[in-house]
Amino acid sequence: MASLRLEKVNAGYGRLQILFDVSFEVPERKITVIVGPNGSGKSTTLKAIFGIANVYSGKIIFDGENIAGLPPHRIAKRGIAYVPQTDNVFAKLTVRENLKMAGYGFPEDQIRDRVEEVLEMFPILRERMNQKAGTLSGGERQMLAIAIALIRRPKLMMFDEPTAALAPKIALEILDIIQKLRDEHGITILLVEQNAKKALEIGDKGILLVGGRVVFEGGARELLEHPDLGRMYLGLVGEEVAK
Amino acid sequence: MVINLSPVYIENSLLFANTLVMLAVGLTLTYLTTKVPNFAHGSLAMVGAYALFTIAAIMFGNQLSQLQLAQPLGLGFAAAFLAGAFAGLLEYLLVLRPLQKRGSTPLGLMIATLGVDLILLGVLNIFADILRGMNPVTGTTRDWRLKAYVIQKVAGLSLGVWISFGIMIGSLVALYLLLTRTRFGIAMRASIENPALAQVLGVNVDLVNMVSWILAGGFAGLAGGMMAFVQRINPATGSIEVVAVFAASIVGGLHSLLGAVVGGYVVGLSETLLTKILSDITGVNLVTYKRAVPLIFIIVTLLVAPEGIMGINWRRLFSRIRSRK
Repeated sequence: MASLRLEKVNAGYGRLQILFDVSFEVPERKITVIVGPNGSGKSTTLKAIFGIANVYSGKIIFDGENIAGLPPHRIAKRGIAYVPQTDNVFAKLTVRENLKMAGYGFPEDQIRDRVEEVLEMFPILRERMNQKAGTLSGGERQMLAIAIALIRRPKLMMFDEPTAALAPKIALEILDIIQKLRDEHGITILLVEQNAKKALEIGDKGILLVGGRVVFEGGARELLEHPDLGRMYLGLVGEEVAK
Repeated sequence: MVINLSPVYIENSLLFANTLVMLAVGLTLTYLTTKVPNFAHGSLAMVGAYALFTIAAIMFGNQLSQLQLAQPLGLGFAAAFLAGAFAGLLEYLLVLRPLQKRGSTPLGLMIATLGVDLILLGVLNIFADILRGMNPVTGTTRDWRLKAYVIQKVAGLSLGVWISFGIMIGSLVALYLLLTRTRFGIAMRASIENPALAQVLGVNVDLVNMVSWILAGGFAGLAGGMMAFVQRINPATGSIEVVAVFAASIVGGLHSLLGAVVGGYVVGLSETLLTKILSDITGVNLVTYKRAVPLIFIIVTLLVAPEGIMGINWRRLFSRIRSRK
């Protein structure tokens, strides 16, 4: 059963249409990776699902209900979390305040429990509790962003290029964490990545977007090893594909 | 070279500064939440002023003793708050939000607020015409003030000063408590800092924006009412005073509500007290040019400290000055 399904979604910003008849499924408790060249509408897809970009037509079915056209705060309440690529923490607030803010709308004692939960996942944040989020390193900041999203105990988490601008080693750590979210917490993941190879390696399903249209939908491995698509769109060289 | 400040002059200066604080806080608030510099903010104050005027014209009898003012003034200021809040909300809902949804630029939105200002000016003028037949408080509907009613002394200061400080401090404390002690206030601060992220965390940013326009309009309405204690009011008064309001916000840095309070006092007292003191010292009548003071503040702040008073690192500045000696 698919936890999220897009049906012929046309979306964009104002009059600028970016997505054309985009349809795909995001299976439950799996990692689905959206890849594609720059400007192909990967981020816009996430924003359309979350109600930030305008959806002109089509359906976005989550848990059996059409959520297309709902405002973002209503979508957040339905159990979808979205980790934006940039500005994904409150830079001027401390780590503690960030986590507290993330529990907005929950009772005080529940927030405390949930903060404790995510701190167990990210012990490094415990040492930074009173530090302003803006002073964290790139990796720590990304962990805080994920922690913030986790406070709401989402069923589906969407990541927009979570490894962009991170050192390779830290990027791998973040992808590790995302795998853990699937394996240990049973969270459905929708991942947009510019680092196609690494992302498809941890992914179960791959979707290739080109020019706002779905060009490929299938197994992540299949997309990674596709003889033409990888070379044409993802910058994978022959040797890498063969691996 | 005798500095001759009468208590009345000082009282009037404080009254003026109080109105600027109320207006600058509102202007900064809507700038922080919706990122629109609202040039119609002064006219929102006039909407409040005319609401107060209407209540006063209905309820103040000519023979009414001044001690019987509490009820009409209380009602009048409540009406001023509500009218200003309503006008502010309408400005956001009917003009700014639709434009923002269509991807209008900050410049486009700013010019739209100038349009709103013109519309409010027209509506206020029509309203002043309709009211013309009513009992004028002091003067005509296009030139009135309430000063005469609030001039009596209570514990050494005039009643108007007490009312004005009461309203200003009450409003600021209420705003402070809202922002720091309530869940909605925390959501407001979150969406001020990062609206996209606040939205992701389940904050209804649109509601936050609406509330900020309601509060800004309401505060402006109260300020408009307070203005009638110190100066003559006509429908265009707000459009003129808005320059001083912008100066106060800019001196405060436009990003800080506390800055707006400080800026309101700095600009308000400079325009009134400082010009008077300088006039007395130099013997040149500088008070005539007091309207230029806010403009000077805007230019100097933007040139020297674009982040405003709150953005200056005072400690570093002082140590630098000291090391020069």
